[in-house]
Amino acid sequence: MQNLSLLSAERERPSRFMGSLRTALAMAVLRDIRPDLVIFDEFQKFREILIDPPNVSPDPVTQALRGGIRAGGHGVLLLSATPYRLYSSRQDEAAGLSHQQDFFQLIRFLFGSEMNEPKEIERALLDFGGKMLAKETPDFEQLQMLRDDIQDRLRPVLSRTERPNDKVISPDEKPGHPHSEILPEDLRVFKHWVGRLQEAKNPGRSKIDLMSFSVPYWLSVPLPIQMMGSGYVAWRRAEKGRRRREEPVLRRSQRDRLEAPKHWPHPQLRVLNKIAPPSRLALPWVAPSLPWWDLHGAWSEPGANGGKLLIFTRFKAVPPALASLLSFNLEASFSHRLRRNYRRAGEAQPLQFKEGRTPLPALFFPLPTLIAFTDPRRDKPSNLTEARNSMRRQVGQFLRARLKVEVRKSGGKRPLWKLLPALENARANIIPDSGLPSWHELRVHLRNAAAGQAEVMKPVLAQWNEFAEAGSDRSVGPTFVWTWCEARPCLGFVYEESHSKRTSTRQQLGE
Amino acid sequence: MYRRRGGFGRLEERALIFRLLKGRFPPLDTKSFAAKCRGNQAREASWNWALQRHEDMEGVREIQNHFIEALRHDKQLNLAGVDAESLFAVR
Repeated sequence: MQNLSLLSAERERPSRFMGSLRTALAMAVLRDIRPDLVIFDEFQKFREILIDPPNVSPDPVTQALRGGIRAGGHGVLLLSATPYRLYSSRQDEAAGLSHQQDFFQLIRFLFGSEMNEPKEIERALLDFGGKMLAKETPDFEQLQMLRDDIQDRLRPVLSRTERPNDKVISPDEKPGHPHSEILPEDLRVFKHWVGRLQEAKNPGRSKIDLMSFSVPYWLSVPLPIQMMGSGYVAWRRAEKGRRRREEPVLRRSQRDRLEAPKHWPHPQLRVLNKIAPPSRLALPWVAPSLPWWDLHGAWSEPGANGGKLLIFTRFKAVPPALASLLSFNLEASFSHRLRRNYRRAGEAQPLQFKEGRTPLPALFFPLPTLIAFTDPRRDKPSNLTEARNSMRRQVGQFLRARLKVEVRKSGGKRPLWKLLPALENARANIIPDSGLPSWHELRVHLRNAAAGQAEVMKPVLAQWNEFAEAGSDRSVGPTFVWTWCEARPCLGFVYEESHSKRTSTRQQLGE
Repeated sequence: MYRRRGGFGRLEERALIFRLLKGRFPPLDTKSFAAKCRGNQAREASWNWALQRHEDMEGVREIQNHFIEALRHDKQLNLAGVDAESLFAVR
């Protein structure tokens, strides 16, 4: 019995042994791979790696990770949206833990052995803060100059990039509060909500006045009788037994046919629908904040790079209500493509890898041959069309000159997933000393990358292999290059209506 | 605990440690030392899967050397010498 308890105590104790082994492994890997750059993502979580507490010397791993400070060591790139605490209480500040100190320590770390510049920046920041908080109106020109000076001094070590707000606010417009109005449907919801509360079950000895909650709930929660749920006393007691004529609700039949009401009976929800319309929510990812090419389609529309939306609310019922109704609204806007079938909406996952989706991995397939033998920037293109033309020329040249493949202007068009393995296999056979992985090695990498879905990947790779072995002896038209260039930036076509004259990615992939 | 997000997970890290040590010191290739490296969280199947991933490693000798070197200088372990016996004796 005693032995058992000792054993369990040892198991529960954090293993110092394993900690040491992991540290040693980290050191070994750092020495082995000799990185040029170490990236700390969300570095605010690793503060102890950057800044030592007083009178504490850093451990060997920490020292090794900071290698960039010394000449000849690796560089360190720190990424964070919150590089220092934005708020500190009076107690914190009294204890010397102010958010300013956080930031100053960070600057000192970033400048390394350069001692004077951080002091100058600290002085300028304190000066800036003092002027901003002064009772009298500050001299804005002077403030602007001070700000620019701080930015210039920080730029060698700190790059600040944020999503630009593309909305231009006119001087007359009051920013931050979109206009909303109450429609008759909203009042009908209120009338029936109040009616249901008035007919609530007798609470017995309870002194809760349900009616006092009617307005706050109605203001915040869209369709309260459907969205609040049993977590709320008001909802539990409200009369729910009978249907009420003219009460705006989302009926099951509407849901099943993906029919969203023309106007949602809630003013804030309607405004939210305008801020985040289905065309924006349908995007699989937000537009880049610093695009490398001209954006098209839904990504070029205002708000496409809007990032996250924060919603503040008093009630727990609001987030699920908004999420489900916005989501339903989105599905309903694609109802014609989902054949007005609610079940189909849940099943439509165009980028979900599963059995029978042989072409899908081609979208995410890094092609060593093209990476090694072509360069989209070789001809210094100024736009995407020029980049595509350049790539088309380069691939054509590579196919003709190195792989001895006949390239014709017209001819049959093979889907991407058949071409890629054929190209890789041909390259490995004809240029065996290229230093690139063989087709067999690529298959192993792909199988490993599939990890949890290795069983699904196996038959897909078997099919790919058939076409790899069939070789690239068939004529390869220019469509091949075009398809490759188009596929990645234009993934949106999978989601978009194909009103464009160009073929969709799905068609390109031969799905 | 061991859920990975695309990258190298803690389980693979532990499996790599076991792989490096048992490769250099075959007497450590025992069930009890494997259990010590594996910890209490991982299931048998996932541990075996992680071990399999490190079966064939290019340049394993180099990493092993660096690893042993790092262990030698570890102040927490404070080993007189890095060998199977001293590692197995660590609690």
